[in-house]
Amino acid sequence: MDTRASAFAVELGVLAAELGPCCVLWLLLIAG
Amino acid sequence: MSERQRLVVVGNGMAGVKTLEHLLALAPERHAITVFGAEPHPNYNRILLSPVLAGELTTADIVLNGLDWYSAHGITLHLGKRAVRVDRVRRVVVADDGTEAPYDRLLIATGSTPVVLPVPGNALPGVLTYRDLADTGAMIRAAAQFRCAVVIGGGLLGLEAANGLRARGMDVTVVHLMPWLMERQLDETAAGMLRAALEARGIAFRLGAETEAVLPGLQSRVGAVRLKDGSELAADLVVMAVGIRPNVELARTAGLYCGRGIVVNDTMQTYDPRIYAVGECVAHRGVAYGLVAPLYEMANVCATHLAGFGIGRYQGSIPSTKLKVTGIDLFSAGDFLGGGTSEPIVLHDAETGVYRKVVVKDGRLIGAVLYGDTEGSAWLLDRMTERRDLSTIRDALLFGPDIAAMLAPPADAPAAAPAARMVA
Repeated sequence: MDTRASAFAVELGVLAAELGPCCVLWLLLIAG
Repeated sequence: MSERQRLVVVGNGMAGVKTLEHLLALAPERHAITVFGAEPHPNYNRILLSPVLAGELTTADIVLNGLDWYSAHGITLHLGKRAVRVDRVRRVVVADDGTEAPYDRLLIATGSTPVVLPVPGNALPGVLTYRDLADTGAMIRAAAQFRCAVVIGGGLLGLEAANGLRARGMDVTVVHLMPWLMERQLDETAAGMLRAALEARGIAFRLGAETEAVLPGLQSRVGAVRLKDGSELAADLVVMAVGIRPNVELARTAGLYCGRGIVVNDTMQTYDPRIYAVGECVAHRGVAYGLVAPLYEMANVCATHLAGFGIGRYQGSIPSTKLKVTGIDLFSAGDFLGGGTSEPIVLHDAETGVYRKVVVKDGRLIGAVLYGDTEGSAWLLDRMTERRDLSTIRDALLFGPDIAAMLAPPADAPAAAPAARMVA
């Protein structure tokens, strides 16, 4: 069953595939 | 080869393959293309299933792109394989047999599924929908064995099915919920003329009738249809043609935003920029289209973007349709009912069976229904699409491009010229 959290995880994964995981981590840290 | 982008197309129907045709014309070397098709056939013209059912065409006649077309363009074709999952993180499409195809760009063209009425008995043997070659084949086989057919739904598809089954010798009754046939395409007058023409061919109608249940007959096969008023219609074959539902499951499980269909922007791009969608599975500006002309417009726009030109926007279509029943000429487009401040202009010749109606609002043509004589229908559709003030040729709209060209002042002449050529 899909949930908002898993949907968010998919989008993060897609973003990581596009930009690289380090970039996404950095974005998350900035946002946090 | 390695520099080519990998394009995967899910759906081997008219919209998806039309996009490929445009794309191959624009940028033949840009992509390494893989196509998944759930049906075991190469791309065929779904619109011509009705003539196949009526026995006027064969299956071979309606194939649009044979297997040689795919191989000639280097397309990897997976027939009979249904794509069941899109892994957007790995950028891979997975089919039901485990086949995987990685993509750089993905085009979803999964089409739609016929709606099955939620009534008891809807899964009995002999209850069919009307969507693909398999359905058509099943109807042809049933027509050879059985006598009575009930078609539920008096829309475009239902009437074409009824006509085809009648042409194959079955006793056909059409059950329709609304008070007149094809209410989404015709006004009451034109629908009445259509009904009379089809009754003359031996098709019976139950209008304003709601199906309550499909009843079993001998050997667990369908035997009758019971209506809400308690009456029963004998049926060895039941065809449900009560609408379609966009196939969005694949996109939805991949996390793409879906409304009524897969939501796309004016460039046919979904919420994932690597993924495009065209055809009946799409919701564009909140509208899901089920007719071929809008799908081809979408395909054209999508192809220009896949080709990297970045031009062309799809801005919606005016729905227009023709009934594909031999001997009955019928055309409908736009807002044919009018109402409010719109002005209907009508020509009705009951003797010759001709009915022509155009609807004008604020000087612009917004809708048309032509029955019995569809001359000039393409010209009318063009005038509707360009949304121009046609006050100067208002009196001639009913009579088509020739008369309009005579009435038009010089400034309007170019608009009338192409249609005049078409008639000539």
